[in-house]
Amino acid sequence: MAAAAAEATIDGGGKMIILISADGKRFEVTEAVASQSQLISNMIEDDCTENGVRLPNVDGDILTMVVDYCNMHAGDAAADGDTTKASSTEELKKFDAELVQALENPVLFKLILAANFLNIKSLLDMTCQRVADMMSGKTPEQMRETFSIENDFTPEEEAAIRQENAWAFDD
Amino acid sequence: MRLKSYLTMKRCTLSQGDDNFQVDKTLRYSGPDLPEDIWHHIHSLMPLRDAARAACVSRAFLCNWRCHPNLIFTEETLSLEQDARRKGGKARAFASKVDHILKNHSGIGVKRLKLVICYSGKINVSSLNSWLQIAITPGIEEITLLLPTKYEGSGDPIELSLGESSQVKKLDMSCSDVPNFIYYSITKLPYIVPNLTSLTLSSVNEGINTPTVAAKFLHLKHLGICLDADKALPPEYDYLSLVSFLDASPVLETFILCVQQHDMKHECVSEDASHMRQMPEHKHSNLKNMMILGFCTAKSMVELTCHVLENATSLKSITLDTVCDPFDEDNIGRCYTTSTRKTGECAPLTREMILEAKRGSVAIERYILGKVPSIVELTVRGPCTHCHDIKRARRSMLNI
Repeated sequence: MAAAAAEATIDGGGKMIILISADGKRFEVTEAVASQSQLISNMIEDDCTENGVRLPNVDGDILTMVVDYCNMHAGDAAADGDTTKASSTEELKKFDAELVQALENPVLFKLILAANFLNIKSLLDMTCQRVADMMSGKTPEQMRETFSIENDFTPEEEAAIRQENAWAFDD
Repeated sequence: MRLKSYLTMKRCTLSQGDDNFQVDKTLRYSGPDLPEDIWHHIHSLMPLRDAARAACVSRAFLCNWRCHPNLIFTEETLSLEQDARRKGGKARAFASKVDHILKNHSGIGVKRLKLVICYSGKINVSSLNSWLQIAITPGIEEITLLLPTKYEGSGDPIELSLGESSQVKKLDMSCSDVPNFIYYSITKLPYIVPNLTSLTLSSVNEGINTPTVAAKFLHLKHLGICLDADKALPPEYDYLSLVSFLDASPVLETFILCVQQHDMKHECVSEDASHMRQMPEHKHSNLKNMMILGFCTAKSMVELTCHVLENATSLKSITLDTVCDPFDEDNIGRCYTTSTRKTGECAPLTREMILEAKRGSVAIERYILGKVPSIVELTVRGPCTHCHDIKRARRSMLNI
């Protein structure tokens, strides 16, 4: 591992750092990859990553996805010198779509929370957009059902707000 | 955007072991749950109609709707198709829906306002002004107003009540009922929206030269000016006067000029180069990209181009397109040059403008090519070999 860390500097990624998930899984990534997380980027700046970065509210399976995403998108932020490694825009779009498409809601929500916690803006935007897309075209009842949202309106309140937004219902 | 993080402790404590780590209750997965601020963000990503329906889901969603940040009012977002055949048609339906939505909006949190009104004569000026008053609040960042030619109850001017909107970064306006809108804009906007980084203005039949002004757009990086004409642009308009806009924008990087006309009545550039005006004291040191769509042989147009080539000291690329194609929204170029546009998709040109475009290419070769510095990339585009065939243009006009 130490050898790998030393070699890693060659491909422009700089030092390797270890991310540790809530269930103790360890992920070794380059600083460049990890820096897409603003949170970790700040920690690298403050020299706080030496003993590994514990992420006690991100599960291993979620962190696997996050690391895959960051590896795939590492080319985005990097300077345009190394074009051989940077994935093409088409490839990235396909990868992103496949990443969120198949997820069950609880997993998608965990991924959103992880993206928010780690402060990875592009991943947060993409996952939130996925939820917004899933809400699209649904009735309020279907929206509640899909995302287990409690209806806390009184019947009168609900009737009033539906009346107010009637224009959005007629097809 | 950074959503509120759950972590309130200092950054570094993260790596100091997890014994006393406080996990927010939303992170224990008894079932899917997202905090309010994330739902708010998701709600803001939904198109208007979906967002309005989502307002009926719960109190929290209703609150989000009351301060929905993106107020995008167009025929599509309001789904006006089914209103077309009703009395008063789409214009009335548009006005009543916008009115209704805005009167129920808190006016808080609006970031983007877009009003695209394609129906002339049916929108009341006082309603329009009241909408602007509700939606344009201090936090607004982006305003797009594409307004029709005439209003009911004319006499009242449209008040661009941008008074409290100094945070606006992006402004896109087309007010075809305001005569000489470019003139109006350069004299007023630097005071009203001083923090703009992106500005796009459309004017119809601009007839007064763009004046030199003292005020500046100190942050403006992207400027788009569209000069449209019912027939030909008034020949007294001096394209070179647009240098005033460049002077007023000291950090400008990109300048796009679109000239959309059906005939060209300006004085043409001629062999006698001694009459070409120059303004060497006006330098534009940050301008990197310039595009002219609808480049024509008007002497002042050639002078403007030469002026930029000689005085934009950081210029990297210049595109001169002798055709202005309003159908080409992404500015890709003619349909036959790219696979992303369908063949035959270019906007039709009148016979006069096809001929003018051909003369334009000759003028570029004769008067401009020699002035392009070697480090500047020049792109010249001409009419479409498929869509802008002179014989077909004649034929299609006979068919009408």
